[in-house]
Amino acid sequence: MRLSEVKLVVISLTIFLAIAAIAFVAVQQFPAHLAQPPTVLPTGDYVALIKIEGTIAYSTSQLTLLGSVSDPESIAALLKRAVDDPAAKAIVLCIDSPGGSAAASEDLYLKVKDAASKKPVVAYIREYGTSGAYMIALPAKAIIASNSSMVGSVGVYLSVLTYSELLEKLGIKVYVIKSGELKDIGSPYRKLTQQEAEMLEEMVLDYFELFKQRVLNHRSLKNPDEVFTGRPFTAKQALRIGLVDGVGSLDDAVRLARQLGGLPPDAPVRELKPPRPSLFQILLGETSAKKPMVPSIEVLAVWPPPFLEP
Amino acid sequence: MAVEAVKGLGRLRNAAFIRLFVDLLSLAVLQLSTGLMGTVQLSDEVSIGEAAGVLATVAGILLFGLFLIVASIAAWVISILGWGNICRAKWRKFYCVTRVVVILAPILAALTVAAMVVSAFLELFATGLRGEFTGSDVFTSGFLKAFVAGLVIAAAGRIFEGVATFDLGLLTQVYLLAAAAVVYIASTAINVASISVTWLSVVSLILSILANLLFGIGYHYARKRLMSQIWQPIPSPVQPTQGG
Repeated sequence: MRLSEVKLVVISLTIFLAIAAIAFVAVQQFPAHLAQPPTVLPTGDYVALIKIEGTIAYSTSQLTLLGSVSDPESIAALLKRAVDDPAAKAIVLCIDSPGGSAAASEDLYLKVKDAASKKPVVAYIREYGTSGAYMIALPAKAIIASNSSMVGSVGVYLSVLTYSELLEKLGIKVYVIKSGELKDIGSPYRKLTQQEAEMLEEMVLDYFELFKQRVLNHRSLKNPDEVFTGRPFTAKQALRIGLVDGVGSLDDAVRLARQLGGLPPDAPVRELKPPRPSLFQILLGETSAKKPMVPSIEVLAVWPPPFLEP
Repeated sequence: MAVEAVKGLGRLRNAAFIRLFVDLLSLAVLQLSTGLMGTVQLSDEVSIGEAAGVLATVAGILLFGLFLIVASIAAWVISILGWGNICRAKWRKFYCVTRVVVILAPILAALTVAAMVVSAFLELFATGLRGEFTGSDVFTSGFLKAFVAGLVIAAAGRIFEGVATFDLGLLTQVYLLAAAAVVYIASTAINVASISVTWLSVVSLILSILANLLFGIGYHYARKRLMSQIWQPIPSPVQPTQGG
């Protein structure tokens, strides 16, 4: 038996095509657990967990130089994801933040408020839930604090750093040419005047009034005057005074979220994380585009003072 | 010309035996790495001693892998030389085509895989590693396609070689070669199918071992038969040409 040259080539090509077809089918049948795009959310209902950690500030803020940051924009994106996903029946905010800039805290408060109007939100305070961080927890249906957490510090403060005397000792003179008397208010190159201090205090009180109203709107406090001194509270104290609804663990917060979301007790929890920057972005340094630190810090902050650390 | 054919069959036999050796070692490496993966996955805590053991095994596997690559390249080169001899024997033009395909298929496969992997990496860099990124992204972002494309292109060489060997078996009346060719092609097809059913890769490897063993024996007998026929006219389709 002999096959012609042409037949041999045809046979070879036919087998090749058959194998290519096998490859095509094999790729289609590629194990689902490997081929499934990981960004696809599970089909079952779940509790969305969003962590808010570190200082609340915009990624370009000067405050970001102080450590880890929760950027309102990225947290807002996660909240939107949870709200838009019909399978996410409830949201748990796991908060561990001493607060942050007034603007960022305000921004995040409004985002949480919006999310809470659409889906049940439970806030869990892990270690710190003070100042601006407490503000963002306010719209939640319930606030659960960890037994050893610090809550409260409801207030606003503004710090102005001056080193005019130091410059004087060093023989450095700074001349500031300004259009108005108060244009360089808070300048580190000179002392704060009485008039400026009063003006800044007025601003702080204005911000504080907003914060205070929010707390009063969301919470029924037993001793508001004590709360508005700006003091921090332990979880037990906070519960007694009405700043939180319960003392417990993250599991307790999740359990409550399941109940509020109408989920079964074994419904899964899915942590939503912000997207990581692309390698190109990292290589091009887009992620570290921060403003340079300037010596004059004129930040309206809702921060707990550093001595609050237990 | 018959001398060239004898040379070619001898080289093809040697290449088949090297491939057999490579396949046997691959099977051992496969077993070893499967066991290693099990150890790593099952252990919650690994002691320094165990970690050192795992590292030594990984190093051994890498070394083995390197050796296997070198041996495979050697088998490939010998097989090209073998088909070159068979081509020069002027039995059939198809054997010359086979030689060209055997040369080009692995090169094209490697180039395709390299190009596609680079493209997949660029895509990955450009799109970024998303928050939910896991290892499985690697498979869905072009690497799988690169692997499959490489596998299919490389399969072309094996198919042509299989069909040519099948024909050689009929030509030399060593039917063991024809049978080996069928097993070889089946092993190639199963290897491609193993993309979706992983355990098929072991089946493919076992069939490949069997095919190479049969090839080795078959080429040896074909060579012996040819050598014995060089001195006397044979009624086979092997027609000594002028000066052959």
